[in-house]
Amino acid sequence: MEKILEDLMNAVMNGEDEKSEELAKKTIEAGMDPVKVITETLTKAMKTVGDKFEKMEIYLPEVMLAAEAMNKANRILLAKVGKDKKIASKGKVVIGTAWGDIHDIGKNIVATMLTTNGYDVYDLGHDVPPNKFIEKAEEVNADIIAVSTLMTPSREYQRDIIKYLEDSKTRAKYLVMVGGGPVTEDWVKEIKADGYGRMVVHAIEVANLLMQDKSIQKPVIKV
Amino acid sequence: MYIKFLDVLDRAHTGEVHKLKDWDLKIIASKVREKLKEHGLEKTIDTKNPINTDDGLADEFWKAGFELAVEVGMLCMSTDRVIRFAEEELKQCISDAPGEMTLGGGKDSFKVVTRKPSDGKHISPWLGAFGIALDESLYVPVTMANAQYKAIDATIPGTLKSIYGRPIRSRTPYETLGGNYEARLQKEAMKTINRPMMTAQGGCSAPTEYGNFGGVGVPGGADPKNNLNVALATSELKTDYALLHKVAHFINCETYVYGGHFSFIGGFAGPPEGAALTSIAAACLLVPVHQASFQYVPCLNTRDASNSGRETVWASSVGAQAISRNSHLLPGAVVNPVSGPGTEMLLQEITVSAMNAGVSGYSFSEGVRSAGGRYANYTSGLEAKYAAEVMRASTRLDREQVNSIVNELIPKFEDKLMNPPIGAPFQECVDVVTLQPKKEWQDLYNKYCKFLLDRGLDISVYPPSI
Repeated sequence: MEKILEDLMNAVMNGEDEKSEELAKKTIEAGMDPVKVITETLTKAMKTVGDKFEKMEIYLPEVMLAAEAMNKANRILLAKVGKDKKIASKGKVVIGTAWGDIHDIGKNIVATMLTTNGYDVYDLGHDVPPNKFIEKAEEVNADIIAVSTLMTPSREYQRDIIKYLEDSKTRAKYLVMVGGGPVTEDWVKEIKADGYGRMVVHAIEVANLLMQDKSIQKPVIKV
Repeated sequence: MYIKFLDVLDRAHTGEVHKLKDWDLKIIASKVREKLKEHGLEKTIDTKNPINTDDGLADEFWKAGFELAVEVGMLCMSTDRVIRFAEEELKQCISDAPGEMTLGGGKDSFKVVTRKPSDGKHISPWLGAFGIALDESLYVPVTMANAQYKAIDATIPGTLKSIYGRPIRSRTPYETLGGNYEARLQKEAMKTINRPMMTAQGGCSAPTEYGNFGGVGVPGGADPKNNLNVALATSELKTDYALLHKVAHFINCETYVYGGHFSFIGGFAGPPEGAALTSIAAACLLVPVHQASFQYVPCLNTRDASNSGRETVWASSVGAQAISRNSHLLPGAVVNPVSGPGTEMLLQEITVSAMNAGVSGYSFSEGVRSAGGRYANYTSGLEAKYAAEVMRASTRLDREQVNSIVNELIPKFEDKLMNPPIGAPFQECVDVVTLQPKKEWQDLYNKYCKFLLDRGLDISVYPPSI
């Protein structure tokens, strides 16, 4: 029993998606509780991966591959979770780089670290028009819309997304986080965003704070 | 050019198919790892000597970087296809690339030349408010504050925030109009400062092709033959139709293209050695893909977005030495400090980055992206002057000398890279009427001139621009 879990943990940490899927199936065949496998083994694997990335012992590709492997195993396990049981996702995040901006490395890192920290992440990629963020958020019933940008002329779309939500009377449905090179504390306050983290670690902290206490005073800013 | 641009476009339509995610995670990551291992380059970083002093190592990086370029190519994200070249094709492209360019006009004419480490030849400073958003009202004064310094060959004026009060939004007609408006403001600044033929970067506010369509080679816009016509590829080794549109536009304007690419430590290229490798591959591939006559190919750190820490200085230095020792390409650096104007840390970071640019064989350097470009108007002009002087004076130093200075400075700021002092905006650092630095800021500049003089480097003495 323990061997399967150890192998699954290693497969996830090594980013072996097919092996992770196969081992997830084996845990079910062995009669293990899928909820326990997810909340203990997979979560522990991703925490280890996240810690190593923060220390730069591993790099972005390894983290993203591990996240993919975890998702594959997750899908198998979730299909077997009884309707009476719930897996605690921290929340759903729709994330992307703003329109006209093809710089996505910062966004990729934040998206991956949100995944490793227990969020369901819908990554729209780069150069994403404002309405696509909103469409996706509506489709998946997102908790957070996260908009990244490196370029000042694309930064305006962070404001536009918030304004669109206000004008369409849907602002209260979503928490809006912003980030990227030209984003400052003053900008966050000016556009009335809900959260901003200067570095990746800050962004995760801000997402956690926003999700833990919906009545928290906004914006939540960590720099 | 050996490979015509139409051939590049054809390859972007017929090349091997790769989804973006596979490209980033599987192709780049695994090929970089494979090349580092094959050439014995893993864990070769020497953080105690951030400026690489091992010529053999630089040469091995060149071999591995060129092989990476041939074996991987560049992904066109618009078509999900790889633009790839045979080894002989790429060698011919590099061989045909210019080894010298003359830019600017009249008394502001200057040359960009092939260099080798410590060769004492001119490194061309293209400095200003690189990547820093500027209020419309400050665009002309800030551009003048930079262009007034004769140590700078060309200027990068900064990103215009608005056009007649309206924010410039990328990929909209605001951007198209903004490109033209920006060029007019630049010309006004150059004329007022009496450097009308000085080369600038028109299209600073152009994240997409629209800013270039509106701002370069059209009535009122920048003169394409005296403009830094940038087409900056995406990390790692990616392009798309927006960038290829820029290239097509510059070709239509019958001018040269200025390529660029950032390699990220901690990103898809992995460790510092991997970032150095993709910077070399980018320098090679930008010649045919973006038809580049010269290209900036610096390394940045994903953790703090700086390039003055030990790892980034080392990766940039070994990459530049690899390119300059083994080809006649014209690679460029970027001075990208994370601390802001008016702070001592800014001058420390600039000293490190600029000395690296000067000694490692870069042909030119862009900058100065003070405070990491995060804060609007956080620029002063004086840091550009200082960077230009330091890099120009450093070209004749040997790498060991530079290491001794760099090793003295880096410990003063490396623990602050994640949380740097942001300094003060333009109006607080500069007298906006005379455009001269305020006393406190000037005193700090003088202090670092003396710091370097005490260590044998007189930054007021350097080779001429032409």
